[in-house]
Amino acid sequence: MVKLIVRYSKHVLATISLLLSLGLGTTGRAEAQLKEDLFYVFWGTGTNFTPLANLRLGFEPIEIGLINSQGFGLMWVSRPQKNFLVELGPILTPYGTGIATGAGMEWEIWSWLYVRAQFGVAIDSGWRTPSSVSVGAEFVL
Amino acid sequence: MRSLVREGQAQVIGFKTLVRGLRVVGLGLALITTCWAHAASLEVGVGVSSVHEGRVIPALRASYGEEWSTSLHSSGLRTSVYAQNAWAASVHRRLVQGDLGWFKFNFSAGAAAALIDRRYRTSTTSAIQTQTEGVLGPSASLRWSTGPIFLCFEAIFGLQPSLQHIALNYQDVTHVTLGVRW
Repeated sequence: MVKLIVRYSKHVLATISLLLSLGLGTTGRAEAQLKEDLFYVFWGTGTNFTPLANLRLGFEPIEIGLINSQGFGLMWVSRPQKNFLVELGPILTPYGTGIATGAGMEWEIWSWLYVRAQFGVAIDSGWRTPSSVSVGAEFVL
Repeated sequence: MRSLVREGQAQVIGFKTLVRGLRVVGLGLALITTCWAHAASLEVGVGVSSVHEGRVIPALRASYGEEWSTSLHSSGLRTSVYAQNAWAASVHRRLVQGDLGWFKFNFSAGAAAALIDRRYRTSTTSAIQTQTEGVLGPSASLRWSTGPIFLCFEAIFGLQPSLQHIALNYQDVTHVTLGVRW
């Protein structure tokens, strides 16, 4: 039984990842989106102030790029309340594919600059579950 | 330590450990139910923990509450020469909830503690050595759900008397759980 679970677990993970992607693909510009800036670059550090933990191009409600030092991914971002953000999406990691998610807060400093702090967790097909805390800046283009 | 499976296998799941974990979770839930008499939801699921990084060691997780929730987590493995068990408990307050596509999300934060117990010996006849580790710190969880099914990501950022926290370096313990909510 355990062997069966182990054998098929990666397929289950891949299926969940695919379903998540399909579901999120229907999101569009959600009503809950409060941020009006359409294009931005998010640059943020991770654990040990890793300088390139996050480097993403954001075009509401999607961000694409380096995700929390965990891999390269495509994240759907929701901002359900002012200053709060939540994200979810598939990622490519050195161990295969996975799902990454995160949540945090952001604050407007100037109209072209936001400060953002968030935590992120992922699970990949190597059964790794890395987590990180990130602090960075969003530059509105 | 009596092995439940053949020696030499890389990954062995201790059935007794699993049963022991279930007892702990059950007792915890009974206590929580007694403490909170108001209506709230119960979540039970299985998943993986970073304590057993990269290995498919099933973990049990149960959570109870609504705006405030309490979660208990248990995982473990055992071979003829090695055993590792982990338990965690957390108290979270819901900060944000909403929808994204087909899914509802729920972001909570609070505090958590984990206890990790390792036992090992160099051969099946040598003495067992034990190492216990405690983790305590802030914690956050993000739960994605559709209908009664949920996928929960929880991280404990363990604090140590160390300046490394300034560099965002913590003693991370992560749980990812797939389960059902009532």
